[in-house]
Amino acid sequence: MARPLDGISVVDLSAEIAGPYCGMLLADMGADVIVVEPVGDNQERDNPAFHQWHRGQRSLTLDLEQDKGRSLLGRLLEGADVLLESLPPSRAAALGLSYEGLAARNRRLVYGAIPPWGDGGPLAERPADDAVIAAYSGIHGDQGGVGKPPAYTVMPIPSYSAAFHTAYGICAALYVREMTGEGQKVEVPLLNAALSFQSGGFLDLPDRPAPVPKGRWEQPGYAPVYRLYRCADGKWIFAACGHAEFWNKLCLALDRVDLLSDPRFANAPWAIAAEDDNRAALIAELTARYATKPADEWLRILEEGDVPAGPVMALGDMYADPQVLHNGMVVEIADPALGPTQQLGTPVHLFGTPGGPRGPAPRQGQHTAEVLASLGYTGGEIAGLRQQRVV
Amino acid sequence: MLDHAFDGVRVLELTTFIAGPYAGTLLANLGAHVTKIEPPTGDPSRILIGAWQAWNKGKHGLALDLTRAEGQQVLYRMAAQADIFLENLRTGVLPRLKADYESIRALNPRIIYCSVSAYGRSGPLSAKPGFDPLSQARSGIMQAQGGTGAPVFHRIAVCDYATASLAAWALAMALFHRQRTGQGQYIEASLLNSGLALQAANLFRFSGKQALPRVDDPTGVPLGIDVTYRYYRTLDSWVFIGVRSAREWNSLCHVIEREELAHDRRFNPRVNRLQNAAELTSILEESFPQRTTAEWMEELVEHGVPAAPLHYSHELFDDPQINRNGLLARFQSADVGRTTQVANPVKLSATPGLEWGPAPAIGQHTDQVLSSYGFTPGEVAELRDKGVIP
Repeated sequence: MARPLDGISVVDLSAEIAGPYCGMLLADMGADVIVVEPVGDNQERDNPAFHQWHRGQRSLTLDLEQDKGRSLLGRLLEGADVLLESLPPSRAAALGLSYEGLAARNRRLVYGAIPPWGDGGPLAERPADDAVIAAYSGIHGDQGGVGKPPAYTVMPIPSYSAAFHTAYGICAALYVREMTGEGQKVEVPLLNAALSFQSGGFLDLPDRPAPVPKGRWEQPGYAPVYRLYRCADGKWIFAACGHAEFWNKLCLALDRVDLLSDPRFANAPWAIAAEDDNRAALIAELTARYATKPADEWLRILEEGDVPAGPVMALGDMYADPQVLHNGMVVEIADPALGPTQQLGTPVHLFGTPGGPRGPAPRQGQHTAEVLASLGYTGGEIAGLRQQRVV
Repeated sequence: MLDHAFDGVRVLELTTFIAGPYAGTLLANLGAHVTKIEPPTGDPSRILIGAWQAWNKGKHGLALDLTRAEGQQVLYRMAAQADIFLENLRTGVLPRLKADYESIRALNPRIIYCSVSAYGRSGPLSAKPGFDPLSQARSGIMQAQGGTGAPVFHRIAVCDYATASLAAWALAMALFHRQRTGQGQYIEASLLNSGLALQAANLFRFSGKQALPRVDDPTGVPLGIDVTYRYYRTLDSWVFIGVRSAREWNSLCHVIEREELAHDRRFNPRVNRLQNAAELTSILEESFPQRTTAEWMEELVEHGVPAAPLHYSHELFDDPQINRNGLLARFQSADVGRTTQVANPVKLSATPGLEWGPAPAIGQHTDQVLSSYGFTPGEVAELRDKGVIP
């Protein structure tokens, strides 16, 4: 079946996580992604995830430190639909990458940039990776809570967010190009991506008292009714009573309807999060109640009572989870370097043009000759470039 | 020429909480005309004042009683003209309203219909209600953050935001496809899928895979992943250092005025630093409390060491880089007064998008939206008389 990005060529110069992950999403959906690798050792390949990010793609080795390498890249970009890079602005400029310069030779080019901070501004050249941006943007501080140690987040939130937002921006630009014939620059700095994922909390309302004081935070959850609890068997469950209807159902399911008329909890579910004594009292009530039955039994009772609740599971459980498998979220790909692998499926499903992973990652430089030939280089020229270690 | 990427794209939304609504806001940021359809009593998630405004920025508010047949007729008439239909209500609600994909497609074959759900619209869990933390819990995210201790809830609704941004991607791709072929289609995004997408690197499994390292404080809160890639306490706060290369290590030694360590065999090359992490940790834990975070940052930046001060989001409204990137929008909202909130994160140079305005009050644009969908003033008055719109 047709894929939505059939016929779209992408040249990927990006590193680390965000750009390569974005390239993976585009490749799953049909784009012909050429990953540009150095001629010698490619440190990006030290990270095994490289083999997932670049699945179903082609590999071209190219020495961008040489003039000939950069001019070859220019030739490649003359015919490309999309460029992906993740460089700070000075480094992009040193490689001769500017949207204006490239657009002069290919006005249809969509230039996707994921710099750490931005294409300018006071921090643009400050060295940064995912964790530096997560720290700077308040993710770790907010997660830890004011006055407590910061909580480093295991997930690379800014990078994953940037991968998704950049794929969005690139497809929006491709849509525009269908009407105007013109490409454009799409930029999603890691800093922007970090803020987008924080939008619900990264907010100031000077005319309203804050519903929960800034920095008020506990690791198990937001509020007594939206929180992790430990059951009699030591297993954890999360009950998420996001509105009043579910608070009522929760009290029924827990056989504690008395809580509904308890004046201390009159402001449940949300506002009680701000009231220290009552919050602590309700947490104590619920903690004691959940400690009376094992997790599976509570989950059955809560389900019968239509209370949103679920188990804490491990990532390792996902490979055999019926819903995960139903959704096609684990795929098996035999990788020439790593052997049999299990990888993420394509996380959105377009029923008319479904897409999906198309095969393993290429060997370094596997498609160099093929790509150069398609640009019109003769066998002799390719041999010459190889001798000079341009490719 | 287009001024904004999604000029003329009309989106109808039946959404609540984050995953559906924020996808609509991402589309509005790039110029789509997004109508948020709420019951006359409002979206139940309005209870989250402030956050609700962030997830519904830039939309037009239409209040409509969909429990009434006349209200459903209004929905059908609008859906027949819309480009995108976006919903994240519980599984089963849209079919009952005869507003599921098949029903809407019968009215509008070009419709792009995006269904956002907790677990998927089919499969063993599809009937269950779900919120972000249930997906965080089920997909392994909470356990990964908790490490060997208790599971930890992420304050950021990561599964919701991932779903919103992935749904926006899928919608942009479907618009592109429709522009090339004339074909609309049905799309699904789910919190469960997004929970896995947020762990893509960890989910990737092969023989011989190593577990991820981490460094925890004594209470089990992760501070980083290794001795030179973690937070350290300073005189007044904390600082994060992200040292990996030999050059960065040399610079760090210079900054902490311990140049002799740069060539100390115990700590070189990097693999020795990891092997002798306990010794090096003591050294760094003695060094960093000697100065303030601001003093350290000045030195670390000057010498090219990747580093960041500990920040809280509420301290960053005046941050020069954040403001320079155009990441904050300031509005006067009809129902909550002044707001400062996150603006469009996706910068398109030729068709940049726009700030339509703050999130609407309930039904704020009812007349305007109905008029733009071809309802006459007489029809609007009649709907109001019948109590279908407030």
